[in-house]
Amino acid sequence: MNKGEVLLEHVTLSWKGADEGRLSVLDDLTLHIQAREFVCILGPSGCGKTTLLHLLAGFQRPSSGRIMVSGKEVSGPGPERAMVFQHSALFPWFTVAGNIGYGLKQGKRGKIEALLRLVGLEEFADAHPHQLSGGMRQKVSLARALALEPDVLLMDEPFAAIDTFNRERLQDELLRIREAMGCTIVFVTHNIQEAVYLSDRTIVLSQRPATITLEQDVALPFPRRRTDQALWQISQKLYGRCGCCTENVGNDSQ
Amino acid sequence: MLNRCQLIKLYKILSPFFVIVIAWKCLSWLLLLLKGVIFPAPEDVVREFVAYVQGAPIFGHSLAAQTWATIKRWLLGYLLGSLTGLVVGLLCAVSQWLAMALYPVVLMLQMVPGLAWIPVAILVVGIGPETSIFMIALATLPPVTIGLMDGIRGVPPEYLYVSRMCGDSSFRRFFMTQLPAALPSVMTGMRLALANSWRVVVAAEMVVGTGVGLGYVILQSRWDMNYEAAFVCIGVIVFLGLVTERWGFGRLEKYTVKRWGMLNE
Repeated sequence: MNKGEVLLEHVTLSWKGADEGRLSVLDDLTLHIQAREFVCILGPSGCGKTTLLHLLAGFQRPSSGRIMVSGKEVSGPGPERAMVFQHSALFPWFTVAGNIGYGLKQGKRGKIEALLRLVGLEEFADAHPHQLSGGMRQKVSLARALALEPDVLLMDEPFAAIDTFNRERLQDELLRIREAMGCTIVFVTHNIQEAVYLSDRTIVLSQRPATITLEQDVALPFPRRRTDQALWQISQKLYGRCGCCTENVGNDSQ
Repeated sequence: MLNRCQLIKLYKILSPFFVIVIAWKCLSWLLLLLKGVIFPAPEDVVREFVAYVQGAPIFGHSLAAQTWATIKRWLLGYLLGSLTGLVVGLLCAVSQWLAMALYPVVLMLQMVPGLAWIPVAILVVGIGPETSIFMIALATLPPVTIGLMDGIRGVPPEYLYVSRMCGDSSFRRFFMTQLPAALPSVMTGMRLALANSWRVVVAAEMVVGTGVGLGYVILQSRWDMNYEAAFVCIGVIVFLGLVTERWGFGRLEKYTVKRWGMLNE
């Protein structure tokens, strides 16, 4: 198994429900993600997308099945699986540089500088997170995750709370950074265009309990154009194939 | 000339004093008119205050000495109570088992009015300056512990995820993530404790014969019919309270939680 390769085997997760029964969140998920692949997980709100990321990150354990990353079974959180959270989760008491370097032990300064340059926030090294815009905060959050030099980057609807223009710019920056870093990316979203524009492959999850309803390869070369007819056709197909997602069409802001 | 903005600022500072002086003046006239009671007017109190500042003794000591006695007592009690409160809070944060045993006790302590400790304090440390220090510490401890506990319990789970993802030891996680995240709540606890302890110090001085201190003067002035002295002391108490609140905690917050955008204002 290669560095950055992800394998989920018959992963299920259920919680103790309110009335004796068990609440099934994920139902027998099997998924194989190649090293350096960009996979988007698409699904309706509350279907278990975030839970799936938490399992990959090791914040939660599956009820059954197993999760392998880079040939090792996931048994807890670790820097090789870094997460970017929906609301950035930056520490307000550290500066931007402090947040980026939080997980670093040695060679801190040079690395922080390189990452600040990578996300284009050199002038904001000494700012505190509350002084930044939402988009900038997500860039810092991304830089903090990249500082850990992860095999797999986990992104939980990172651009969902950002306006359309800035979101598109961030998407392009993410693709640029991906070229530079070369880690596997698992990106959760409920936005179909975003998934198709970014990913090599889009996985559509069903309503809870989540199962995979569709796997769509997006075999278009980068850089892509948002107005590309082929991109649109894939989006159209996804709109049609996952009824659960139609409610999210055009829902940009949340 | 002052511009509009400066005038508003000036009004903001001065208007409460006007309200106090006018209400006070009205009260003293009314009392004289209706009940024939001579109630010290603001100007009498100011005159008395100036005399004390110039060195006139007030119940055997200078005003400065009386004030210093109260401050010293309060500071000792507050520091003692805060430190113990933080240690208890840390113990509760470190171990669930300790939290189960200690937290309810602190909640119970919180319910005891400060002055109810007088008999206990006298039994434990006897009568003397230690009595009021003991009582102040007891009034300070619960809000500090509760503030720390609530703060640690309320740390957003994402912060803990980040810390674990970065491979923190639990020691580093506690000091770099949980404690700073709990800081606003700790500060609120310490502010509550400040108000608590300030009330207790004055009340304790009234009841436990301390012989010196602002509370003692207020009570003694009753026997001497020297009500101006009582008002001077009340004024000093209010002033000191405001100073610690604004310059103490205000500053502390400005350089920490406010700078970090952790307070919504």
